[in-house]
Amino acid sequence: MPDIITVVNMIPNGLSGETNQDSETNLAVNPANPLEIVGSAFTPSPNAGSKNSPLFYSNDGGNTWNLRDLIAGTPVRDQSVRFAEAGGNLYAGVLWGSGSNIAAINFDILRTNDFSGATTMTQVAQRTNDDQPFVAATTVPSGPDAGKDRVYVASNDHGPANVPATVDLSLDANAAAATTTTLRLEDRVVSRDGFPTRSAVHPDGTVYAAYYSTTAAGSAVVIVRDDDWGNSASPFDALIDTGDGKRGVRIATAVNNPYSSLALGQQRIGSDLAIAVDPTDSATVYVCWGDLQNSVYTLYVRKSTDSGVTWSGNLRTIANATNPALAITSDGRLGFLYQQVTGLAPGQRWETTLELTHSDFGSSTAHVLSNTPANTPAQTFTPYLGDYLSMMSVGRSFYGIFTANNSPDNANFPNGVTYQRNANFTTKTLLANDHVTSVPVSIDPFFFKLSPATGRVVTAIADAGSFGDVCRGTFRDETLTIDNGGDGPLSITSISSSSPAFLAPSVLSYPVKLGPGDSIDVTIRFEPKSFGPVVGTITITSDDPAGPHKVHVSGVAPTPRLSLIIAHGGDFGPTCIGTFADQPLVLNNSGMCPVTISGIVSSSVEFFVPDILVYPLALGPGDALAVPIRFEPRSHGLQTGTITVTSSDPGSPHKVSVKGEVPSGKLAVTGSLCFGGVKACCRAERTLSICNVGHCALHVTKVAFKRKNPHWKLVNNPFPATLPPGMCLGVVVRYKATEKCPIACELVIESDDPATPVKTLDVMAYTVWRECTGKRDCDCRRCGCESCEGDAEDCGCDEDEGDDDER
Amino acid sequence: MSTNELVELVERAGFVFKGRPVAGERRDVESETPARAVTFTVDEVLRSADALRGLAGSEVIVVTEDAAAIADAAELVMFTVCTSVGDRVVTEEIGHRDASRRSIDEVREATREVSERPLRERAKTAELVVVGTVTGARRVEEPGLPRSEHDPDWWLARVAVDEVIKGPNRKNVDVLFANSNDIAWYRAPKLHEGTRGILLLHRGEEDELPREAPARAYQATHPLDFHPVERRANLERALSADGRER
Repeated sequence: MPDIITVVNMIPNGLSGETNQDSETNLAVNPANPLEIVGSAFTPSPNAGSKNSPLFYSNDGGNTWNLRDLIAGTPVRDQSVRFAEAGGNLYAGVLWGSGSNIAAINFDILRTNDFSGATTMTQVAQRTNDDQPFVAATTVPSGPDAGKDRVYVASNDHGPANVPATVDLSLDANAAAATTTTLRLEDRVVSRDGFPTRSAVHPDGTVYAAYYSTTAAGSAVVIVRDDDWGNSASPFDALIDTGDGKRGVRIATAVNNPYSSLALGQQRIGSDLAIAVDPTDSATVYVCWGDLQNSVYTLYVRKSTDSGVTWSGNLRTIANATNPALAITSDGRLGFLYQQVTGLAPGQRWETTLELTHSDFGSSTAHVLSNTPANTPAQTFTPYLGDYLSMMSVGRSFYGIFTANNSPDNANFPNGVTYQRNANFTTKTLLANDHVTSVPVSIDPFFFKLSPATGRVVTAIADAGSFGDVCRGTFRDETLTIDNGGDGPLSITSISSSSPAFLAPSVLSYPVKLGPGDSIDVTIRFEPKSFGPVVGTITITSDDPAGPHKVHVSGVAPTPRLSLIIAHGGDFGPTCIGTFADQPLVLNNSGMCPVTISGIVSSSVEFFVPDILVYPLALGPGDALAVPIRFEPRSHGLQTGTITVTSSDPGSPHKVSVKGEVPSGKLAVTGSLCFGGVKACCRAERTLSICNVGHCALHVTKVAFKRKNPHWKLVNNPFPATLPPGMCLGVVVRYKATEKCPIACELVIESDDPATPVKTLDVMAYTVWRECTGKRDCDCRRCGCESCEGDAEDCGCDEDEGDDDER
Repeated sequence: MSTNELVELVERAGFVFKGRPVAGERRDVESETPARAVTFTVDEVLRSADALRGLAGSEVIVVTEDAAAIADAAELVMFTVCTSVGDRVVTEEIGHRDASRRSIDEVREATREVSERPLRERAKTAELVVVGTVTGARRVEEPGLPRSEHDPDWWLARVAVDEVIKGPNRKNVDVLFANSNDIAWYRAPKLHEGTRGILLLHRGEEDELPREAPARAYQATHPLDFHPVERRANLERALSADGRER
């Protein structure tokens, strides 16, 4: 698998004119946010006369850098930096101050999470008289002390006469009032310890430290360990050397520590140490040191897999090299960084090399990060490149920093390089801020990052993931193209959706593997479960270092919309009983999706909705359905009702008010019932017209005299009868003039005219008698009867006359 | 503003320049609100670290509490502190004044005063100031394990005194110097045989001196403790200003 290497000259563009010897570098990557990186070097403040000193800061993963005064104090000498594992606190161990007395030089342990440049770091602790403070830090991941920052500043303390390896540690370094403890690591009788002391801390509480013990017999490379964060009852006593019974296992003895008596390519060689613990296994630890034998200074790498008790033989030896750094990635890859002088004077070169191995150098890959002249620029001071450099791992990536001749020459950087400062790589010239004035070559800090080539999820979906309008109950499919835009293989382990409305494809067997540049199309289905706008996220989980890739999708399930239309506002107008009126109730789907109608009911027995055998009814977008509503009244007057339509419209049920007027028949009677005088014994008749002058049929149920009277008869009475509007029926009223004295009689007409259900008419007649003396037998011919005219022969006294016509 | 106040302002300012606000340019500088950041074109750098002397003609961003007034000015002398130097130089204003010729002359004078102050103070504390020539030099300590990478590597120089500028007359004087080229000492004078110049000599604290050093030896360890004879005028000005410290 190829590796991706980035090398960046850290001098910012604003400092294009600088010519400092920016040596002795250190680097810290924030594990919680690897985009945030801090670097240190012997770079002076950008402010004239500043009482502060700067650090390099990047918030884009090391691609660009700023210089900011973050350290209170100047001039700064040795310094190192390291972030805690969590929380974003940066810790620094810094020597600073002027004067000829090193005993007065300050050794500060500093802390900050503010990199704005507006404030300097907070002092956690301060003492004096120390050398090479080298910081290690982590954060307690769990347990009662979870979240506490544990900081270990390994150094060479000049206070005691034997100048011992020392660790200043804080078990709660992120506390407002953090405290530190100074622990002497050296347990042997020594003339002194070497300049470098290096520590490594594992999140399980294992803390290692390595240093040189120097006795008259020579130096030994020693490693000590504490299994409780350096807080054991007898700190750092976990490893006892089996040879001398002293604290710390001697990894190598009879080491010739040059103590700065040696120079390689203008670089003094004090001594070198590096240590790294496997982040996945605290028992696995590597150490590198330098040894001058037979005038050849050589770096050695050894390994322990039993927490430092026993050690391998030399896994790797590099002659004429210095500034080692070790780091182990989360997948167990060991990185070994060093700077080696190659060639012969005066053409010697400094090569900065990163070797990588999964097999303790059984096989390995070497990347030359820089290959620059060793004799230029001339040394301004020592150390030329620095007494150390730095490398660490975060995840599967290595991050590091080194110094080198800054000639803008691509040949010097086999894996490429990026300059922020002005430089012309064609003429191999550094340029000042004016882009014209040439700037002398100097020593600059270089940042590098090495990551395994990985796949990178790149996706494409139409309309930026908008599925548009999709009706509930239906679906729409869109193609999501997943492309591997990275340099390495991509392994997709899941594709999931945050919303049940968006269906991710079913994959029978994960992982889905894509080579660089390969792509697959998968179908994402939008099947809304509810109405309205819907958003969701399709998450593609893979080994893309950027983490899960999220595709935002959206769609709208339009709301069904049913509109009801009925003429005249639901007024059916006058409708007679016995008849009916139909009005169409129009159901219109005015939305974008089908509407289902599950019921139409009427609240009134006089308004009828059609019988629908099977619900629901379905109406497509824009469709209309005319539903006949029948008004069939059963009683007179204003009749009202409500038609209720139940549908899939969220506004359902919809109600429509209906009404109708039910008129009646109207009774009208014409004709005179005033007979006047009728010759005795004669008959007189009048015809009475009983009419319906209303809009509806009139039911005349009875036409009769109120009381039976022998003188009055109805002849051919057609009633009861129903009179249609405008129709009349006549009834003949006969008077038989036989009564001696006039007697009033009342004709009663009964109908369903609500205004006059019973109409009473007075019929008036009297008998005109001739002189008549006897009346008992009513012998009209003898006593008073008049000869009748016309029908007068029908004598009213005819006893044979019955009541046949009376009703 | 008094002269002393101006000097104090210049001393606090890490970057002093004459410049023009870029019309309409108020920039968002990270957490700073746009209203607080004004872009300037630098016309002349009046005081800076060496690396920023070439910024004339470039733009810098000034974060200021007085952005509205400053942005409308035609030209100003800005007293600032660099807070971030990246692709752009971002500074924070600690003062400003008009850019009249007189004003700039006063700033230049204050800048000179600030730059000469260390020499004046060093000369003031010098016990002996002489013009002399190094006639010999030797390592004081026997070679052995260094105590530190930052050891001074003490050497002792015998200096033949040509002239005493300050202090009692002497024909010869022994001077301890740090021969180390370490980051802590590389600016310290290296008084090897044949070196001639003006020496500002102090006596060191006992615990600073190697046991092998002569008890009454002087020290010349500060970068300002040695000057070429050509700079005698500067030194005499510093010495003469000794009695009228500001």
